[in-house]
Amino acid sequence: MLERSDWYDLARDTNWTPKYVPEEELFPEDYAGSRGIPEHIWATYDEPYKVTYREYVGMQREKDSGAYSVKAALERMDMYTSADPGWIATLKEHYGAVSVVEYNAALQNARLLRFGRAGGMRNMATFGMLDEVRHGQIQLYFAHEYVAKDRQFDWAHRSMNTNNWVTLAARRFFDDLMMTRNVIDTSLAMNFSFETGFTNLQFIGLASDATHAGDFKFAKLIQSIQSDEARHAQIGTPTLKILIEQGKKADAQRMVDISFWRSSRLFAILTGIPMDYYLPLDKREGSFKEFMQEWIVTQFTRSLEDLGLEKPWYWDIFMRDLDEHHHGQQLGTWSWRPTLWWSPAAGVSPDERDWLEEKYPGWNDTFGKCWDVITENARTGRFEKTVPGTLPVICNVSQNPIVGTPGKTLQDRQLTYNGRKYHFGSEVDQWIFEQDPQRYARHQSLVDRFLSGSIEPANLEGVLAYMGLGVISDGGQDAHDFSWATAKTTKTVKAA
Amino acid sequence: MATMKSRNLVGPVIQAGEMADAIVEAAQDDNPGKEVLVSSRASYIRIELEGECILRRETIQSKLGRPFQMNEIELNMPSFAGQVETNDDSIRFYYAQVL
Repeated sequence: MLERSDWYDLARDTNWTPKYVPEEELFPEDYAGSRGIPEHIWATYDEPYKVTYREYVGMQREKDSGAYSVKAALERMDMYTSADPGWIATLKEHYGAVSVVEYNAALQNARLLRFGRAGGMRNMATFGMLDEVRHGQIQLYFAHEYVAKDRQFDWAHRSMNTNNWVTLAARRFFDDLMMTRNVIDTSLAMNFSFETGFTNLQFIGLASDATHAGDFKFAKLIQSIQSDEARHAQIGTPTLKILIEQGKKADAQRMVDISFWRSSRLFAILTGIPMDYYLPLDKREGSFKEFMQEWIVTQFTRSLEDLGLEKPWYWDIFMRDLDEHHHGQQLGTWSWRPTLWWSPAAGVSPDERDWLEEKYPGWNDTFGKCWDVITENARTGRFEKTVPGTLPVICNVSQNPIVGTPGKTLQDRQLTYNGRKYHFGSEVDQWIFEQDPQRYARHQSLVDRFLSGSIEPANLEGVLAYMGLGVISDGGQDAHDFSWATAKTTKTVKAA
Repeated sequence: MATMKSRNLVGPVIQAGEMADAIVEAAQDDNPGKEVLVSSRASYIRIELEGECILRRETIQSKLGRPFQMNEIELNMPSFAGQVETNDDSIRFYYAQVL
């Protein structure tokens, strides 16, 4: 019998020489991003992770039957009723932010399989496209089980068709890096930075927390998804090698720098907040920072350097951010909880604060001071004071509220471009805007929309309805109904 | 585990379970003379070797005690450290530049 290696290269290489259409019409530069690199060079693209259709179908069937049978077996365990509300918040945030986006990822892969110059890229992207369709279907299906119990789970299906501020941020991210770049740029941004780097945090790191939390269904589901990613993420690696060999290193580095930063900001909210605040204390495998150290600082940047790129130019800012950024976003998202499709946990009971101080030395003196005020208001029943009465300042690149360490790094950077003022949450976000202002300049953040009169009535009620709250489901409340505010430490207090 | 971790550690991340045990044992057999570092998390283990890690189909097959195709490793491998090379009868993780 023939081995795969005897025929693979021939079978996947569907190139031919066009006779009726010029090559630049068959592969328009806006889509293909060829950068003048000729056909015979793209033909050297050697995908490191090879798979044939026959193998693919067999494996995917196994993966699906594994995940669905775990789901079926656990159906009667009723994890939902006994789960901590913080874990339920994690599930809702995940399903709403991730499920439908998977279909967009299928479209991205579809562009790669049409406009990729290399047969190997097209082959891998065909499987990547099918992977992403599977991810959309399976996550919608798993989330749907809970809709009858809790309407907020309906956001799994509907969030991406709303103007919720979290959706605006996520959609803007994927529109920028996944939907509107040529196939070379998007394979670096998504397949390389996003999938070999950051998705590991959510789909493997969080699987460990899910296992501790007793949600084996979710753990199995997300690891099954990431096993597809590990394969098709490798689409970006040979792309990167060709660009570097052809003297386009600076070009590739720029794309990785942009996508790495934007990904880090997205995952601070998607993964960072649940890991450090939503998960019950005794279920935590490690802190978000520890997972970032394992998956990004160690594993991803080592690969980056092995392939011939450098750490991003803003490395020091990124490392400082690991101690700060998601804490600021937690303060913001929890405070503006009526605008969320999930009910966030505060995660700041005395024991949880001790854990935060241990994992992030100095937390008590910075973020803890803000939570002191909130806790005191909650303890004395002044709940209305725990919700801000104004809108936050939003970054025109990340679309997230601008946050920082209180009194230290909180800074609203401003730039006037073509007569309009833009706000940025960091030096790096501003740098990204300046790389390609036309790409970002016309987009309206939620606050821009409010101020320009496109949200009516122009009051809190109007904004909430515009974002889908009270329409698809009610917005968030404190997950634990403020029980943390009056909780006592479980540790023995030392006598003075 | 060593206190000063090498910067050249490569290898697969495997879902906790039967396959994980088989792959740890195979990693020991297929990479003679090398230390196999294993770190355990609740849902996965990380297998790490210095510079290069080879896993052979036949070795995994004998550890599992049932037929095994090399590409089946994907079912249980959500990630890996290093670059990868997939062959009919083996999979290899490596760094091109050992520091």
